[in-house]
Amino acid sequence: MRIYALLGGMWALMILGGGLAVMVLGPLDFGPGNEGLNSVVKAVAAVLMVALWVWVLVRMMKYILRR
Amino acid sequence: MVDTYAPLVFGGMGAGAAFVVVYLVVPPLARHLEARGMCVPDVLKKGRPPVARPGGPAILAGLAAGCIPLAWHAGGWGVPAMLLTISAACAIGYVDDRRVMAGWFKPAALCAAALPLILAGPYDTYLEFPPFGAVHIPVLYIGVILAVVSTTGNTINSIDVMNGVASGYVAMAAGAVCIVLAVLGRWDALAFGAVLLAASLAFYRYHRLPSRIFPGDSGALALGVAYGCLAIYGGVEVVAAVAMLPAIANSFFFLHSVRRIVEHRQIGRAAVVRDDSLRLRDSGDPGAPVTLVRLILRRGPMTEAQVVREIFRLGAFSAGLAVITGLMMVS
Repeated sequence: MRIYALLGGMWALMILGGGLAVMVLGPLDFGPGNEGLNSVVKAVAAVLMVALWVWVLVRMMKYILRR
Repeated sequence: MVDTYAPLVFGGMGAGAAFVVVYLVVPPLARHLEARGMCVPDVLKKGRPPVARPGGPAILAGLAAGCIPLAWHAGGWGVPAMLLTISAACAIGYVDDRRVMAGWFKPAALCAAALPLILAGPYDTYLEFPPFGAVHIPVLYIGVILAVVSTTGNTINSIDVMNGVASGYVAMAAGAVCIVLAVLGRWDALAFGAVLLAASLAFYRYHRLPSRIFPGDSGALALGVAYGCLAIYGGVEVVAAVAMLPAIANSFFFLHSVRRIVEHRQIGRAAVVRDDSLRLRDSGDPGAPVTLVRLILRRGPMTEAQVVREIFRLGAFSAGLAVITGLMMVS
């Protein structure tokens, strides 16, 4: 049952992360002439979000193994 | 209506061709491999019987046969580019089947295999996150393609641990993605999905417990990369990732526990052991990698068939989540 909860948690995190990407990261714009900066900031933010996703997964995995 | 029916007709022809080719090619291929001694022991069975490997060439032949009607219908380089990427993945896996390569080899080589897809593949550069909408990432999307091809290939390869799992799992995930593509009305991609579904189902017929043939790295990478191509072609990357969650979790557990990219055959410690009554159990070795099978066996010893059923249950659960995710894309 805990593995199903883990998968459900992974799914919820993906949907939530997608929401952040579309609502917050997508519209991010540093003005004309800063397209490069836009891309770099979005890429770094995306990598940070993936890192956060991985961190949460590690906690969930360790919880399952402990139980 | 012609726009709807034509891809479905060609998709049906492609799916039929893929199924028939894989179904007919596997038995002679298995006999050929057995005659040449190209077998590996099925370590989870009593007496460790030899099983022919690799079945990748049969899967590739089926996918190629299925893609011919699609390429003829769609025109352009989109479908041939996907087939080139799948063929390159199959060749990379074949090299790994013949001699064990370093852990970094497959992820790096799969990035190179994605080149035809990047150059001529049928995709747009919007990444859809249901239910919120899409982001336009013209440059970053190349990174998405590299990540999708490398991840899908390697995760399907890493879940190919028991009889029938890789092919059955891809069939289940491709089926979920096909349902979503049908709901979204993306008929050309649905046709390609039908080809992949048919090829995996035909191979599953021989791969299921007890296996007559193993797909090997060539087959697992071909199936995984074809699934990645389907995700990109259909513009349903997130849906496809959701359907693959158990396989992604398996790769993630493995990588996190061994803390380096390494071929599973090069790990000397067993995560799962077999007792005298042929039941599998967690080895309890803290130094062995953590895998999905190991987590399943935390509930207690199981037969191989029971573990496979549990993996398929998890696959069905993720496929359901993928369909729900896809339905959120309908505006």
